[in-house]
Amino acid sequence: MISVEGLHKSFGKLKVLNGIDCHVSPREVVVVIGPSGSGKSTFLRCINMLEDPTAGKISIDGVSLLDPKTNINFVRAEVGMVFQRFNLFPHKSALENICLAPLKVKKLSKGDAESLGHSLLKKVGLSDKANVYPDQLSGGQQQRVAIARALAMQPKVMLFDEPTSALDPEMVGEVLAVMKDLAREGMTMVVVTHEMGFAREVGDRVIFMDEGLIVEEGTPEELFLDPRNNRLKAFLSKIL
Amino acid sequence: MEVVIKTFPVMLMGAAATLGVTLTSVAFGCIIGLIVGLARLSKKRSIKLAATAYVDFFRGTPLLVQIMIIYFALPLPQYFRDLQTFFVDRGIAPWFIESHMFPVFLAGVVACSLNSGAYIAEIFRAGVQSIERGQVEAARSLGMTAGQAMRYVILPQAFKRVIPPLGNEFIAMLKDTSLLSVIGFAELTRRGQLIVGQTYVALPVWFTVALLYLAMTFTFSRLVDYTERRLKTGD
Repeated sequence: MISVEGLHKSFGKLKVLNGIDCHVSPREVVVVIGPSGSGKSTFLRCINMLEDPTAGKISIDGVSLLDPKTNINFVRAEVGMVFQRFNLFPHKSALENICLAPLKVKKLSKGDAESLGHSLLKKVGLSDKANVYPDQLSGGQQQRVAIARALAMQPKVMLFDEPTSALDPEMVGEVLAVMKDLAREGMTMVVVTHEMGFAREVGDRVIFMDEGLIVEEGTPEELFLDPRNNRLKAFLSKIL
Repeated sequence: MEVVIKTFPVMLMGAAATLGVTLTSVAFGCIIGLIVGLARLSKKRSIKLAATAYVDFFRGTPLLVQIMIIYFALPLPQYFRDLQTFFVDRGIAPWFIESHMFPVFLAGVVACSLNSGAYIAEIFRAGVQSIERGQVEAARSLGMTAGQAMRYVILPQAFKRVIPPLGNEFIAMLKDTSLLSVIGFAELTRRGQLIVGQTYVALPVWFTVALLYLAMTFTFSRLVDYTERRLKTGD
């Protein structure tokens, strides 16, 4: 589904990614962990070209992203992204947030978009918040609307960039619950997170990144119970 | 005092002309400002450079000089007269100016629109840049083009934020239109000059002129305050 080969990314002189190779199969849930500054978010943001890779190859569902002939907007429409800071549109209600892209990008009719929006709000447990604006929602509710907004484009892949890091602790659970449901339904997901419980429970594979490289990867059991790499050991001892 | 009472209707006409030329100029200024402001943010260097040159010129030279250039130095009055015939023949000249004033009015609108366009461009640019990066990223990640993200996500939020500075620009422009008196446009200040010239009564007349300006700017700033409060609650 996602194939990344030799991905490099530099910001000026600062090298953030130093050659990432990674393949994600359909229906697979890959969890990316690592210390801050290790390039996890940059890696994720390269997958939908929010960052321009410096070198390397990325393809999604067989479509090469770096091919100049590829219309990146079509690719992005099929790759949902959930941000740490939600990034809901503050001038639009929850329902309008969800409907905007289906209306303008997919050109759905207003009726179709709204019924899709309502069903997605129901899915994330916020049916009663359709007409509420983001600033009147809690962080957890905002993030659930953001997930619904991404799902509205019926993506083949969902990317999560530390989706619970900006949340108060008591709201983390409700967001993770929605993500677990998605994983169970067979969504292909790449999740950057510090929630090791989630990684263990839902992840098919865990990737440990440090200094712009994938240092170790494997099943959650392999990584958490039998870490080989010293940096991974040090990282796990700090957060577990 | 009798002079003031007698000439008050004439001064009111002047105030109407001031308001008319300001509203027209700021309206055109907003259109110019939106285009130039977005051009300033363009990734194409030539577009950005042209927009920057425009802003630099019109902010960096006095409005009075710009008015002089447009009315006296450029061969525009002929076109203005042609336009006058065009509008007057069709009976669509603005009500607040006498028809023989039309060429001066047009020159005034051109000068003031170009000038306020430069200031408003900076207001819009700052407004757009004040929107968090995450908003564009969210819009683009959903598959929107840069244009769609600008139109449906960035601009609606930016418009709310630029209302206070736009209000300032309007008030500044309202006062700056007094410069149009030098080309003989019969706005409020010019009317005051003419009345004082004929009657030799200076203090009460100029004081009334000042009060009329104050009445307009005061009303308008209250209006901006009100809109600002309304929009804040609807955020």
